[in-house]
Amino acid sequence: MRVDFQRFLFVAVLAILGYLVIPPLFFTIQSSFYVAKGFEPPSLSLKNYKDLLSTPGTGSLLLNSLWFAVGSSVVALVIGTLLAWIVERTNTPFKNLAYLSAFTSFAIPGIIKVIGWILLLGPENGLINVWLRDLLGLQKSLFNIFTMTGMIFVEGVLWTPVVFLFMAAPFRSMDPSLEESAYMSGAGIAKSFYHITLKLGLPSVLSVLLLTFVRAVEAFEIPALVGIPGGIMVLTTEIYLKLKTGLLPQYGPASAYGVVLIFFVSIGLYLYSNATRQAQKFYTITGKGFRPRLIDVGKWRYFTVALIFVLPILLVLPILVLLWSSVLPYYVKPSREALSAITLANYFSAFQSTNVVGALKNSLFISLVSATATMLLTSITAWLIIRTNIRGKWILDHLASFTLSFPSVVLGVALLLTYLKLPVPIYGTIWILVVAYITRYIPYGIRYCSPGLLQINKELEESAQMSGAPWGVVFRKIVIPLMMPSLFAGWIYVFLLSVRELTVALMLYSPGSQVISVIIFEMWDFGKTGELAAFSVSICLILVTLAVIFHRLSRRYGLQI
Amino acid sequence: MLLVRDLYKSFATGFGEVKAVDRIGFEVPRGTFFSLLGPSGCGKTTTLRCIAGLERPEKGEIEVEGVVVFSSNQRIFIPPHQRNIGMVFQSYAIWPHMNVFDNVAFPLRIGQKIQKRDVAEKVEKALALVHLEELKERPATNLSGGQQQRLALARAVVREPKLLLLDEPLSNLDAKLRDEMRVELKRVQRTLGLTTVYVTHDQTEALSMSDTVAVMNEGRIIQIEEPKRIYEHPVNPFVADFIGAANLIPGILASSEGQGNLCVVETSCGSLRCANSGKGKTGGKVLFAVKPEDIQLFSNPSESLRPGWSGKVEQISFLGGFVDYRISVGELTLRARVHPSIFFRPGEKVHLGFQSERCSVIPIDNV
Repeated sequence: MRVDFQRFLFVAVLAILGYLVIPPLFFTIQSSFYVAKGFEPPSLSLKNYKDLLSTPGTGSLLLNSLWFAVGSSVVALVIGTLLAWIVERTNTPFKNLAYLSAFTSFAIPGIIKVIGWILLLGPENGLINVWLRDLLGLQKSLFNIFTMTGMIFVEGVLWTPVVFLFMAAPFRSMDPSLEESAYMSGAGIAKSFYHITLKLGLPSVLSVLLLTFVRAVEAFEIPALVGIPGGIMVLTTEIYLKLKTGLLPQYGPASAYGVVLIFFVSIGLYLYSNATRQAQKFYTITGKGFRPRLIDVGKWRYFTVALIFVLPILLVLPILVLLWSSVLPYYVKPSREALSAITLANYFSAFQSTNVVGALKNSLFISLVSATATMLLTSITAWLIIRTNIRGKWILDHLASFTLSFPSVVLGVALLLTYLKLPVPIYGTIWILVVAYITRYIPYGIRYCSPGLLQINKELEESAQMSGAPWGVVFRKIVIPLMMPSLFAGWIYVFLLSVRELTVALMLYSPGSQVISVIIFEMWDFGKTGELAAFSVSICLILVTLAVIFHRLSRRYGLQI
Repeated sequence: MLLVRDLYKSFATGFGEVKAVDRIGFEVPRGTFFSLLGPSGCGKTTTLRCIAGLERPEKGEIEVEGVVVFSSNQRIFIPPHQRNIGMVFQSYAIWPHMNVFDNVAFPLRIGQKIQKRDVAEKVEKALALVHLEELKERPATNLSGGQQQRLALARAVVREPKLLLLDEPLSNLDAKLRDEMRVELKRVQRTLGLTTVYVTHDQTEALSMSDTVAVMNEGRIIQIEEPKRIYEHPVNPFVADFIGAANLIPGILASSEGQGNLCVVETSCGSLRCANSGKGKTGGKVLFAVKPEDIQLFSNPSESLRPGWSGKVEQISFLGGFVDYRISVGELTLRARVHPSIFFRPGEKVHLGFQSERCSVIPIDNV
């Protein structure tokens, strides 16, 4: 019977989501209230939180996290929004270039770009510093990436393409007749912009600001690779070090920090979802295929074209420096003599290592399985949420979006704790990573499935039922094929996210279950820059191909973060 | 054939429970065309979806060809895919990822094992019935509105269902196509002899196609009769207003004149005579209902055979085959519809004649 089958499905999905989401949260909170004393069993206490409050370092950790997040999100917001406006509302050429670079940049793992920037802006050998020293005849380097400013700059650059993609949508979909009716009411261009365009766009700007802020609070790559050497600690790196250095992993204090971080991120996300709801209210998409009136920038177009080229340049620079390092036996600055030393040796040695090949295989396998499982699970979840009126379906909705508030470092700790305690033998295998990625990417999967499903008229399913098809057949023959484009876009998105994921993998990997990002991290740690560069360049090639496909699809279905 | 008893279904909304279908019952004999007519939100679509099995009613019983498909007392609920009922949806619900042939073949392939050759044969027969046999290889997205409509119909009847349900199938078509499809739909129904339940808010569709019409409002059936009776003798002001844009003139039922059913209604503008006193009580408040086409216009009172009213022409709409007049009589505004050969100018004085045998009297306390 249809209704009973729905209930069965509901219970099954509820059980899976509950299993994925609740134990990690439970064990993190539990562990934050326990203190280990030598070999005695841990005891219940508030000591972790008291320490956290009384340690003088905590204040500066919080301040650093905050400053880093505010700084980088403002940088990304200003550049990204400006670019989005130029691309969508003016008649500047080369618009597709901006889109293509934004999507490509998204596909390349953050750690690769960060290492590229370190090679460019390092205080001693950073290529830009070296060139500027030679050019201007300076004794000292101009830039030092290992500072808070450096961290903010790189994080801002990393998020600029995302902000660009986010802001392009509202600029594109803003109904020009809203502005035009302001002109007709007697307002000039400036007044119309202030009273109409800006005020309509404000909720979008605010929501993107909050989102980048939240993501920067939980960022790990830059704090780890740039912050730790520069002596600038933030919450995420503190948690990481609490577990990875010292004699024993300090689960209690790490969990306490984790709970604090979840708290902050949850507040941010709550504000974000409110702001987005506001933005949705002002969303002025109509079904009509209007093209917004483009502003003629006239002579300014030289300037705006230059700005558009910011995106591809920011993307290409770190990759180019990696490409250069990858073909040299040891790193020297580019010159005519250096050209003669070019060799592919790094590529051979990188791919001869069994670790590297294993990591590639692992990454591919884990990402394939995670992406497929995530999309399968979320398509059924979305169907239950949208199409049925089962009491309690709101629980699914909440469970499915809950892991958004789990920063990846904390999710790493949480899963570590969970599978140390639960009798499920996946600790130390690649399956713990699969579970971790599915848990982490469920919200993203849902956000692809829900609009995809909402686009499908309910009557298409009902007419199949009336044709005699039971629920399973309806789902297989009607729902899945019709959702395919958004399922596929979501699948690629989750796949790319899984390939780039460093933080969770770093917390959960064990010998034999390394993945691409972990290998790059280790190579960097060991100073194997040449092999690292060769490996990174190869990865970029693969991922960029995927990104181009993703780009094609996403222009139709929109980016969801 | 189709038996609906005491059907009850409510929806929880932000403002509490709303009774969508409030204990209704009706019977549709085999091979007949039955319409549920009413304004949006009256419960007609919910009733249809309950019959289909797409909604689960709270109370009542539904029987299709002697088989109980739903019964709240016996706790029976047969899911829609096992009911063998064909349905055409408002949006047609043509599957865009299949071509014309596959759309129609779906119900056959899904059900019991049927030989491939038989599937093809049945599909071709169904497509021929709706004149789509030429288009069977076409992607379903490449069809016009009218073709999609035909395709949806072919798909609904290909399994030779016990019952055909039509949910406002013509509402998405333009006026000309709608007239064409109305005739087509009726032809297919008659050819196959299908028992049909039709949901619409358009009285023309309901009146022209049905053997029986049930007028619904706020979850209840107000009147259930053959189309002509409903049109000519609406039981209350709602039906009168909904069925045709009748002029409803409030008044008091004066004593009947003895002769058969003839009665007199006293209104603020004078008395009116009606040949169908119906159920009104003498001295009770009533509405005198007269259709625009049953008002005659004269320039001279002597032309009128019966004592009439006089009024002033306020507005004229020329609609091709007829002319629509708005005429003020005292504080009332009446609509009259006359042949274009009769012509008055705005502001002109006219005399009105009512065809008393085509008027009806509707008691107000019957609402």
